[in-house]
Amino acid sequence: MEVTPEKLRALLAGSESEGSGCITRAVRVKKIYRTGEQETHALRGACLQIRRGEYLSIMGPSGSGKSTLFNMIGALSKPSEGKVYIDQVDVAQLDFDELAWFRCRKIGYIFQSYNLVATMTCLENVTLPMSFAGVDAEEAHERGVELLELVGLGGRFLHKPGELSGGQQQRVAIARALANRPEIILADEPTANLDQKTGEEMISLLTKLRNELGVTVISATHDLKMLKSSDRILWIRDGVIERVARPSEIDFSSGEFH
Amino acid sequence: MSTSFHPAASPIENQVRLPFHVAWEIVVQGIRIRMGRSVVTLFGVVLGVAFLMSILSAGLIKGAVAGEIELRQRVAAMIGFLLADTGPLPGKTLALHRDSLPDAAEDRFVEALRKQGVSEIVSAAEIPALPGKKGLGALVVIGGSLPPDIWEKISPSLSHRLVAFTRTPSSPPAGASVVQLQREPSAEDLQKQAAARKSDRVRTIWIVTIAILVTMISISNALLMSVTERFREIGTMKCLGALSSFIRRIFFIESALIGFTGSVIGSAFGLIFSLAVYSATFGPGLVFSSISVFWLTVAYLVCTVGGILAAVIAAIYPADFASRMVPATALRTNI
Repeated sequence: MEVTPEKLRALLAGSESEGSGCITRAVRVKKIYRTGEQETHALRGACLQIRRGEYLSIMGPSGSGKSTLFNMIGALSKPSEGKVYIDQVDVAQLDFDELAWFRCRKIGYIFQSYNLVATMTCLENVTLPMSFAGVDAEEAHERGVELLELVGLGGRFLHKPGELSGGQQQRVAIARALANRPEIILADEPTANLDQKTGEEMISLLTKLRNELGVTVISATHDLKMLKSSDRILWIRDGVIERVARPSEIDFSSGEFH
Repeated sequence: MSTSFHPAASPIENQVRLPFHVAWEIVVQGIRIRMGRSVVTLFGVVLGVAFLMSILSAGLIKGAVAGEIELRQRVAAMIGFLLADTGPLPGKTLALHRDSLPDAAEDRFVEALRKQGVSEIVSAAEIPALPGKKGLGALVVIGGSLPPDIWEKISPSLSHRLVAFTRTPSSPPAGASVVQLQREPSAEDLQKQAAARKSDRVRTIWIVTIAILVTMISISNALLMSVTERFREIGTMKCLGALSSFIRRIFFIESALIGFTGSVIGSAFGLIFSLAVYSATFGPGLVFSSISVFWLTVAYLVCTVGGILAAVIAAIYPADFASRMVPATALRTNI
């Protein structure tokens, strides 16, 4: 499939070029890691706009800068050069505590290995971000129950993560990610540790949440099913965004997916 | 283009203040799930504080027992000197004049006189009220001086004109046979004692410092392990919006909790140990009659508070290490 420069630019810019339609905007983002004498350029000027309510998948081989980009747009680290705006906020201007405040309220994280706190019950795991946000215990409890019901874990509030299957743990993680009504859900290979069927359930759950709650979902993934259900797919290689495309424009049977 | 973002100060403070109970729960559950290692760390604290406490309480007990033994020896010597001149006391009457406030040994001496079987001890000042009192065995003066008027009053009643002073007499009455029951320690002796005490104190401080340092290092080490073990958990909590101060607090609470428990148990162990050792050496009767409960309680509190402080200080580095952790660590799967 041919991608013309015009088309690429249009895709990168999203539907609106500036302003409120964008939830996340990265402008010529560079990230340089220094280990002693050596400099590693993880990102070499990545530009990207993500629309509110969009479902974006990021693809890239290991060492491509995928994780770095992911961390940038997730407010987990700051760029060395360039700007990252999340919900109109320049992330680079926030100090550590403000970043924590920001992550707490704006972004929900879903991890490949779930990362639930093993010593806490499902409900406690879901209410944890709410207590970080200063929500009072009663309200947090109520909302935690609601969220666990939403992800289909009705009767398992008091189970510890160790007593649940991988899929169920990931559901708890999704409920936890939604705790503070974030604008963005950041998912790092959410289906990588799950079997085919559970993975599909997770994808449909994420799609459902996107449609019902209007959250933006950004995921790093290699899961074909996940790529197919996303709005846009972004390839990154050697620190540069190589290609952005809609799933309908991509031939999934080609070699690069296998 | 550049929209600056300044969240109001209050929400961040909210976030800081509120979740103490969350931190507490995380700590307690963290300790419970890592019970094995927590117990090992606890043992480190218990041993360190027990050592500290045993050194301190041994010093106190040793001092008290030595004081008691010296006192008993002094009293025995005084009785000995007196008996050498008066002969056996049973059935005799003694006159007693208190010239100055008696010290512990002089108090004991008077008690000991009664135990010797003296039939009566009369106060020298009351002699005029007992006219014609004859056959007083001796006049015992608690102190070093005897007013002449008292001597004049009492001398006719004394059968042997014997006066025993407990201290160096300043103006012994003429024509009496004077006994001095105690000698003041010489300057040389005092110097020797002071030097011995000083070297003892230096050694104790040295040992105590080592004990505290070893305890702190073992706590620090255990907490660092607990940090590295919890890398992902800490990263996750940071992703969920935990502030660095919250993470730091978790480790301080954990350390203080271990420090408190370990110190309370360790101080008790140390006290029991030194009491047992000294009881075995000197006999429980002597030890328990001479120790001062007040000072042992003070030592217990000092060790407990010291143990907690040491634990909190030991947590500074691990807590700082944990709080500086990058939230993106949570995304790494190879930890």
